[in-house]
Amino acid sequence: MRIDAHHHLWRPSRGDYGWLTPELALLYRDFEPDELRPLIQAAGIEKTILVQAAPTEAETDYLLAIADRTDWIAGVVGWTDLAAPDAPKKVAHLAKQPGLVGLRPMLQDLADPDWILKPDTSAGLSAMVKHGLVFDALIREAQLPTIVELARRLPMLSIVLDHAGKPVMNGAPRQNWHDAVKALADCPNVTIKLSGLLTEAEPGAEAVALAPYFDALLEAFSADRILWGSDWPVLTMAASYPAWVAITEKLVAGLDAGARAAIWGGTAAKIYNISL
Amino acid sequence: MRTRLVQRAGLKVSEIGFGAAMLGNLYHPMSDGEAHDALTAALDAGMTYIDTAPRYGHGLSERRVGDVVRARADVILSSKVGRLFRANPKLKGDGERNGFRSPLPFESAYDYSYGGIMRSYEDSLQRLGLARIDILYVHDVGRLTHGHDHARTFAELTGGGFRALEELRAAGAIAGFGLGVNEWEICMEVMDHAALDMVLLAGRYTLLEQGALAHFLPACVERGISVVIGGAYNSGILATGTRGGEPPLYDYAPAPPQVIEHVRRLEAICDAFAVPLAAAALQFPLAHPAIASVIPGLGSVARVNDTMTLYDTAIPQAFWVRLRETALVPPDAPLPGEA
Repeated sequence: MRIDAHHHLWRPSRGDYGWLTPELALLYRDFEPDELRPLIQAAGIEKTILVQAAPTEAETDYLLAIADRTDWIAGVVGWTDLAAPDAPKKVAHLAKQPGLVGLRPMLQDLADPDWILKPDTSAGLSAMVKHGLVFDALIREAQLPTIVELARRLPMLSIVLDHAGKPVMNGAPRQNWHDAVKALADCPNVTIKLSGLLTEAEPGAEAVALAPYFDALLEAFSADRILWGSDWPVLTMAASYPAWVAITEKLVAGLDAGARAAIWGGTAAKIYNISL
Repeated sequence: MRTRLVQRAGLKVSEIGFGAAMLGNLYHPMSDGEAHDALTAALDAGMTYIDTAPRYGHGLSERRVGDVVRARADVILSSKVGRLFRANPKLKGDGERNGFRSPLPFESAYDYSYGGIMRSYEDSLQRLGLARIDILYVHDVGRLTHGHDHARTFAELTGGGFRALEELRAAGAIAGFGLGVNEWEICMEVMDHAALDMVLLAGRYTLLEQGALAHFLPACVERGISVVIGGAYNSGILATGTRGGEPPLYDYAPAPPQVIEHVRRLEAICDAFAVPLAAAALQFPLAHPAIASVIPGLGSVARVNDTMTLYDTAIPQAFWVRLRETALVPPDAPLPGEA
């Protein structure tokens, strides 16, 4: 089974996205399940993980309602303020909602890059462990050491690094990204999303430009710790859904069937506990 | 059994102590004879630090503990304050209440005020039938227990409860006081309001999770606060492992898949070194310099004997190093056997 482990859906008029402004002309419109459905069907994808895009619980509720009436959305990665005094209670409540599989604080947008390591968030993170929620890490490359530290401190917290840690992509992979990827791969609680790379790459990038990054991920993590995601509709700023699927096919072409199946969905099913 | 100094209270406690919750009929009734035998076996084995609480069986654990230790000179005893127990004639039988199958017809109400703490202490002496308690822990304070009522209960404690404990300590009635809690975050908050001698922390620094390592334990070392670790098996999963018939428990509930997966990784390394998982779980917290004692909950002679075997199990240094190398414990977590 193929799973798109990372996409979004939004309506800008809901008004809580912050980062989503009219200047982002391609993205500043409604994206609904009806638009995505034919794209995933054409790619042979049966299930998806819907990921938050706004730092509010209202958006998480909105996403859970969509997931509830959309049979191919297998899980939602939502949001709550992990530093709130009542975070453990909020996490426990969210974990009870059908379809909620993880949480994603929007670390890349926070003023303090190390916010997640502060004592304020520890009770909320413990609650995530207790209730079996996955931590999706949305960061910029410069924050990779923070996630390494988080993964080492909390070996039971299942951490998925979104978009391969958003490497700065002009030419070959940079040493600090590569080192951090290896350090994260040494932590058995970390998995990594093969997603978002076309958005970081030079316009018009093909598989050949992504290959050094993919190879580094594969060598460090191996296929059973890599999850494929589209990052649609953010993807559409760089390429179409079928174009990213085709590039991924080229990247994984040399792997055996088991490894390809893991990247295309097996890992996601395991990490997000999706019944096949 | 080795002992460790509780610096600020001037006491020595056994490295493995006796958690007496089960003596309050936790989940299952036990006879007075079984309780007596279990505690006597523990004391004879050198587990001379005993922790009880009014909550454990609505007074039953304190009664049983007191009856055994009254004749012993070598015991260090802690109990807890923060709840007052009142008789209720309508309470009959030993149906489970708050987890305990105790027939004692008492029900509790939180009271962290000056008067409440003093009365809780006096009530404990009466139930124990003892003239002295060495250590008092403020029980279950914090957001985890009190939620939206946290601000009020915390204000009660800082507005009078701590003064009661400080007076008892100044008068020499107790050797020290602290908190007995499931979260370390509240302890950090309290350190600014009271000079804690000890903290009894359940479940938050174990072989399975080390959330207390980054912020809390260094603060304790800095201030000379001694930490006692309860729940070293995290409600059972580190004692039973993942291979038994029953779903393993973590933090009082069935363990989620990620936790089970993590324990399986620990079990794989235990297998490679022929180390019992429970032995590693019992010994791991003691490597940290802030920690004075680990107190598993014990309810039978057999469990006492098992615990002593686990405590005495020789664990190769290479086992601990492997845990660190495979990132199953944080790189800065002290390991047994390291200087």
